[in-house]
Amino acid sequence: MPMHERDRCFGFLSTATHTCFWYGRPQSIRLPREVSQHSMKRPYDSRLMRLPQLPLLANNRCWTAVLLSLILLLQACGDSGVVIDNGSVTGSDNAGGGGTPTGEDLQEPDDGGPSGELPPVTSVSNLDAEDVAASRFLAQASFGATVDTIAELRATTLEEWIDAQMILPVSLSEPYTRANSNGSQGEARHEAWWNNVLDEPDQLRQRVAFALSQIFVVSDVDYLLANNQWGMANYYDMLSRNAFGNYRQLLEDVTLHPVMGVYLSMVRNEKANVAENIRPDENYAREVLQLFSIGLYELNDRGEALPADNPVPSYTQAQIEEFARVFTGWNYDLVTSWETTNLGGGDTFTTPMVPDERFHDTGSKTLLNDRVAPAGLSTREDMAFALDTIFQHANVGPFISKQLIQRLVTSNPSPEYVQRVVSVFNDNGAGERGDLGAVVKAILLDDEARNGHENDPDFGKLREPVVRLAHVWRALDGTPGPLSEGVHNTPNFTLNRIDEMTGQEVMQSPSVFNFYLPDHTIVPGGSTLSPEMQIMTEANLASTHNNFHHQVYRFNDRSDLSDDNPRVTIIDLQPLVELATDPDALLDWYNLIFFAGAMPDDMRQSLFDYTRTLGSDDAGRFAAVQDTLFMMLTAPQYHIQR
Amino acid sequence: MRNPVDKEKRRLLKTLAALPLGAGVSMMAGSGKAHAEQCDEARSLVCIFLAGGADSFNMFVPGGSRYDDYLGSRNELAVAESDLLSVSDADQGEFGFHNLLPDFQRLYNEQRLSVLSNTGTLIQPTSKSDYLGTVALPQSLFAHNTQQKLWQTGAGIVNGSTSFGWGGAISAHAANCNGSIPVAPAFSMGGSTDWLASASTNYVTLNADVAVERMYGYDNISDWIPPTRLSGVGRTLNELIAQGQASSNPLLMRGIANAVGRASDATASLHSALQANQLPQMQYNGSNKLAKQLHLVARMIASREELGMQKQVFFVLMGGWDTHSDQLERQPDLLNGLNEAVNAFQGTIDDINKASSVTTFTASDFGRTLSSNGNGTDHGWGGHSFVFGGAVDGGRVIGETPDYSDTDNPDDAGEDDGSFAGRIIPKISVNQYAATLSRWMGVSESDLNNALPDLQNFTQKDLGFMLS
Repeated sequence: MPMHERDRCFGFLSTATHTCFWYGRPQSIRLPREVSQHSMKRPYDSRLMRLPQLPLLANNRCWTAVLLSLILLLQACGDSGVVIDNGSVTGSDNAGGGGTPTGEDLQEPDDGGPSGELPPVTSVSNLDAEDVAASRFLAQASFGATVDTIAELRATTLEEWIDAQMILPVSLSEPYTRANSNGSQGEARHEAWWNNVLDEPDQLRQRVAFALSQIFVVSDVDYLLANNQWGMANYYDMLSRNAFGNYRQLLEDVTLHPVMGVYLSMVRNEKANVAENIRPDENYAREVLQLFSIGLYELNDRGEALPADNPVPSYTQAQIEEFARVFTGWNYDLVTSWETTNLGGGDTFTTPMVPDERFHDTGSKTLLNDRVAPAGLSTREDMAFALDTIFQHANVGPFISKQLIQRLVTSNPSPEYVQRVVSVFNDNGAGERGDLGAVVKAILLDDEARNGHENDPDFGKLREPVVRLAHVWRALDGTPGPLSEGVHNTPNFTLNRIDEMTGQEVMQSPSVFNFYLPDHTIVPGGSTLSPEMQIMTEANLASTHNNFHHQVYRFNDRSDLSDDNPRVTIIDLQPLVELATDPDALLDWYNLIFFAGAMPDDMRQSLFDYTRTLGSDDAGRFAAVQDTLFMMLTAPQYHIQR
Repeated sequence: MRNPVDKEKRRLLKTLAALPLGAGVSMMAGSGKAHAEQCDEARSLVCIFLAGGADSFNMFVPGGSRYDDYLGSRNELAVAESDLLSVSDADQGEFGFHNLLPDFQRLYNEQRLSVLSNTGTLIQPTSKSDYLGTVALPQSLFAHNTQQKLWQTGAGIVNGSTSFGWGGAISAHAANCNGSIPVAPAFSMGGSTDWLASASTNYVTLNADVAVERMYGYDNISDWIPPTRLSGVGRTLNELIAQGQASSNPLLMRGIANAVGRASDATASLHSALQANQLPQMQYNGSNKLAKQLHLVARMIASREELGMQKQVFFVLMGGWDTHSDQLERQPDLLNGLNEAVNAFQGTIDDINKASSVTTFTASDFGRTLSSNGNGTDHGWGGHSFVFGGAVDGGRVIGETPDYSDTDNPDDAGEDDGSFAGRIIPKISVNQYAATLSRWMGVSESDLNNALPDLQNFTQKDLGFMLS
């Protein structure tokens, strides 16, 4: 991405009623004390660089500070200069015309309520194409774009950004969970996860780990796991560590994790006892094939199960029974015996399972593709042989790749897109099969990911509720409430219970089939897929809507915490209030940050028209921000990531 | 303040627009007038889905000599004969309910509950030799999601054109009977479900854990948005929905816009009706999620007249039945919860004098293996279901009792190699079960045949467990 503007000074010098702001860079310039400095690494829009209008300054107590700032900025920025645009501030504002506003225009006494009918004015968008492209990419590769991350991304190339992300230290959940939970308290695991995705830099890893947690599903809805939160956190960290590693290693780490051992009852699974009519447990054997690796039907490299009306099963019940025999003989580590009911402390659930050969079925087993695990293998050798067999099955590439595409980019990837990613899964270019880092990179850099929205009207996906909430807090600088001890909370629910509001919360799905199925369709009987639609129920939509209502109207001001719940996360509307002087600038900000440029024109016009019913004083601008933000966040249009 | 006429217009517009995207104009007006008599009786049907595959072979157990077969197959997982709550069937003799299902026994003895023996997904009548031969079998037997889908759609294969639920066919009929009201007559308290999926009508999904609250900003509801702004906010919110619903939009946009519109409409309509019908007499343990869902169902049934609904269809869901391990530890909580919920619900329906117009039935992914995997059971096929209510011809065991023995079992879906898992081939098809219930709800024979195309493969098209 060319950075022809990267060395320039840019920003927004503003004079609100009581404060002077410098939003912009460089931040290192020492401006007068009266000027409050805020980071803005890139302008969101070329028109950002505007100086406050003199008529306003005349009545402002910080005008000298602002003028002094301008001089300092000009000195500091030297030849490249400060980008200045002081002519278009009211291009389509409430005065109903262009040109410089007069003091009179801006002094309309108003309580923020509606004014009379105004002549129609068309809202005009003016976004930088490269900012938009960066924001789109970040919607797919992180928990949502922010002003800062757009700037960071524009300072590099997409591939460099991905490479840099992949070597960042892994943000973990387990240490915090251990420090803040005795194992039974589930809140800590959620707090750690949210703090990581909101604040930590390893965004791509966290986003991919969240996607993996929806394929290799465990859930503490299970009663035993609810009391083993150290193990749950450790499982998630295992996914994070493997996010850019090899699928084969991931599959083994999943298989031997005691949390999975409990969830799909592989732990202490015994060889058959014919006399007592006891067979090995088929639970893990079935789901590792159906959900974690190859799926129900034979797939081609385009991810298609053909013929569509009668696809070919990829395994038989008899093969499930053979795999069930493979996965016998695994016990918890750190316990005294196979039988003991004393499982020790939380460490038992953070340590991989270990073999107990006495309970392993050592007979030969006929697995997939006529591969036969010979008799006499040890518990661990048998497991390795079976996972190798699964790993070599041609379905793994399309089955895993398509789901990762669905989680990050689009619900309906073209078969060609799937095929391109599958070819990378099958061989990363260096002869390695299953390189997930290469797969993630191929998914994000593919032409369809980058440009599919230009051609295909159904390109994209519904935003996952958890990602959507994280994005709102990230973009609006959500800060934990003053009595929350650094823990985020929504107005209506603590984080460990937001599945009641949204249908989704990390590792808390109703079953191993995740929050939604990959083949759920947008309408019954249709062919257009939309997994997330499965949880866009009336109840969830209403609950989420009301939650955003409270967020925007009640928990929006850190300086005024007179509300009844000082534990709720507070968003910061002040920067938007600054922008709202020009409703088009405000809408451009929404369009860039929340829509990556895809806000429909009619929606934009509706929001714009609404702002024109409000006054232009402080109260009016604050009202404009609150109301447009609330409507934008809850509108059907924002549910879609294009 | 918003003009009430606008509000009505909006409602109508949204209701029409909120039809599934495939629905043609003719469907909007209803697919022809239903016969008056099929709509005359107010009726509600409730599906209790036991997600995960309930071990119904331990919920209802054969007595007499067949108990020994059962014991031999189940070993340590068997319910002790002395613990069984005995009942009898005029034709098939002695049986027993699990001792944690006392109210199932009571309802059975009051002749208000019947047992559907060994029911499951089938394309056509299937014997063991058919199973090992070339007869068409339901797709992906023993896989949770596929079998749930086939149970709920009545289809034999998962396929776009057959992915509508038979509950959806009932709700389409119900919508016809109900006429032009803004809310669909079908409700799920258990999340999205294929059972209520329909080409011509929607269903509404409610969360029983959270009160049905109105959506702020719409209809002048908000304590926080100043009144001078509130009507403008409401108008704009509705504009945004209408824009999303425009027919020129991509499916994804229309789908989510319709859902948001439906949420606003449904919560507004249901809120006041439900406020008026709290039914505090329905008592249960607050942690019983199934009972909570059924409480909301009971309140909706009590609100039938206020909502203008002659017919209603409900889907509730109870999870946790996938008892691969620790079955003996897990089953008591499941059965206690089910029994408590069923008892509290039926008692409340009796209390509001609607017993004869409400029928409730159970369904599940599949039955479980008769044999044990050590301390649990694995995925099976056929299993028992239960149907109850004032209109049920109760106190009967419908269908043939399966063979429970662990040797040479003719009902076992396994290879002929002496091995035995006890995945029991069903004798009653979901299609027959569905047809009997749908007919009671007034669905016409032609609509039935469309909804359940495999019904034609079975001689008995009505199992006769409904009184009228």
